[in-house]
Amino acid sequence: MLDGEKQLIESAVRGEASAFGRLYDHYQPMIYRFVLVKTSRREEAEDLTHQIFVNAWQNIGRYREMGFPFSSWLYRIARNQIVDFYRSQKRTVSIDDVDPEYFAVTGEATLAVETKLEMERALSAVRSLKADYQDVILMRFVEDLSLKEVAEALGKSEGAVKLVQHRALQKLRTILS
Amino acid sequence: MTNLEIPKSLKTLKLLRADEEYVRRSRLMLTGGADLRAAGRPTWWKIMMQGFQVAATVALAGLLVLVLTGSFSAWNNLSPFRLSSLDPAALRAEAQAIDLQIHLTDVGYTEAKTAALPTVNVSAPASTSSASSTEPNPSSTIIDPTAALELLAK
Repeated sequence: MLDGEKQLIESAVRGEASAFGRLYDHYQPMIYRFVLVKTSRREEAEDLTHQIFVNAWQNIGRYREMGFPFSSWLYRIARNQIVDFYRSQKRTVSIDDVDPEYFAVTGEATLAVETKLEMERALSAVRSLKADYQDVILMRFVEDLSLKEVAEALGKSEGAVKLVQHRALQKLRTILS
Repeated sequence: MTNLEIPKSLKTLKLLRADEEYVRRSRLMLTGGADLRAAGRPTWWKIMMQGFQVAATVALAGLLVLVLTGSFSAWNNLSPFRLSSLDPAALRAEAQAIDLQIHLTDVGYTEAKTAALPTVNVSAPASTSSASSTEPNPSSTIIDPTAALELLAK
């Protein structure tokens, strides 16, 4: 959670662009990663991420009424946006068809080869999981969200999230082994 | 791969980041349009401030008019250098002069009108009736223009 997030959200609700800008700076990377894993193409991930934040900015006045943590609320918007995107596209992308250039990594050239390979292996493994498993794995192990936050983002109970997490980890272990 | 190694492997996904130029553009588009979004949403405070602005503008305009008109009066009453255009006596004299000019103009107009009037020919006596009545008689008498006007009035 961002320091002074509550005040930033209140300012953003009042229409202060700079406050929303700070929220964007903090949450954009995690939402982008979430979208990139699910779309596999950088351009699509960029467009969708931007649209998610546009929607968030347009509807931020409704955020408090729902009572979710801000991250959970953003993930909810992201999931709906991705579902809408695939509904309109009506197509699927095979992992094998994904161009490695679409993996936008900051300072990719400076990454150690081993790290890069490890990342691509993890990415490939996560992409082969079911959508629900992907969501839980990304939120819990990449973004370090709490069970409560994940539960609220996915609209499930904490127990259900724990169960999905357990199954997803089992599946991952099989894939990565 | 063990249960401990999987989270470590997944952490490498944190290296996935959007292009910096894209992030800059996206942020600019969002925060640039935000002011418009905020401006479009009326709040009590905004409505009050707008009302205050309108009232202040009207009050300032009224004050300016008062100052301008008042300054002429003040100048006229207090300043040793009187404006000729604000001196009642001078204005009265000027008004009279204008009136006189109008009269003079009327006179000029009347003179011009009478000068433009055609001359009235009076037929000659029977001794000269040999000449065609339709032709102008060279011996006809030119009468006074005032008399001609009286004649026309009849």
